[in-house]
Amino acid sequence: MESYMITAWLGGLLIGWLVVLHFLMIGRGAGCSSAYACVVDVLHKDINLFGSLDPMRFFFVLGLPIGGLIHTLVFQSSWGLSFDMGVYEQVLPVSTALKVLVLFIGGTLLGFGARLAGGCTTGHALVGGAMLNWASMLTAVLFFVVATATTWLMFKVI
Amino acid sequence: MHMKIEKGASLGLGVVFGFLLVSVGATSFDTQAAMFLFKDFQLPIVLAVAMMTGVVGVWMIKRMKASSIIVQQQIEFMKIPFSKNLIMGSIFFGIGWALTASCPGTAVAMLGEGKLVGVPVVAGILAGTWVYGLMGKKKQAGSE
Repeated sequence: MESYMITAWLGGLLIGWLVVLHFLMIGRGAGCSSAYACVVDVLHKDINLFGSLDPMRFFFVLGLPIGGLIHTLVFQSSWGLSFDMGVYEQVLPVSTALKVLVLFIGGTLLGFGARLAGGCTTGHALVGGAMLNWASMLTAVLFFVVATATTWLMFKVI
Repeated sequence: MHMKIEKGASLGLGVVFGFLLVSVGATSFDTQAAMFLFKDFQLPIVLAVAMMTGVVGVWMIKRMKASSIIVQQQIEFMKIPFSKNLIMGSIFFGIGWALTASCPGTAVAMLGEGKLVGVPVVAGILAGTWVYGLMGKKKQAGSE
């Protein structure tokens, strides 16, 4: 475990309040995955691929790396570029090119799956959960079950 | 004017969210793997407590009939309805989550930490989103 991590219950409390604060300030729920659709929409100006999008999602997600940078500068020993993957080094291919390929394919599945499911961990688990939307909660559980099964296959079987 | 404030507020909320995702270890490969291998319950506890806190907060907003602070509108609680796509989407998303130990939010936050592993993941998410958009467009064109 990383040394800078805060207690789980405190982190959960703060993230929960952030979700509520987002509703209060912006008037809508938070979300991450549709920000990618905003980017694709700008890159693919000629046709409208996604219908109506909330541009605020883009600004929300734009803030995430800034938050990550601030955290690293304040609480971690030093900021630097790294390609360290921790325990994932054991299960992913040794060659960097193949690692990049696996991560890219994984990312593709995340992006495609999030659009098909109408949201990611933020939209379904955190925000959908806060609204007690059963379809969102079911989706969040399925995300978790499929990811758990895949991780066990990666670490224990293959 | 409102748009500018809303953009700034969204960015600010994102900064705090990114900071918190790193604080709880959501951007760490080891913490993510430990969650799925049932070795450590840091992230499941974070998710569960965040959800419960959110439920209380949303209940309070509804009870107080609060309107949004910036635009002074009624707050929208848009619930995604159930469809078969949710199940298919979950399968793709779950496999992607396990392969990358990230989700669309944490992958971007990783970039700020200098974790280059986030770069192919973010590029992949963009590609997957793009493919979904193009497929949807084709389907639409076919049905017209």
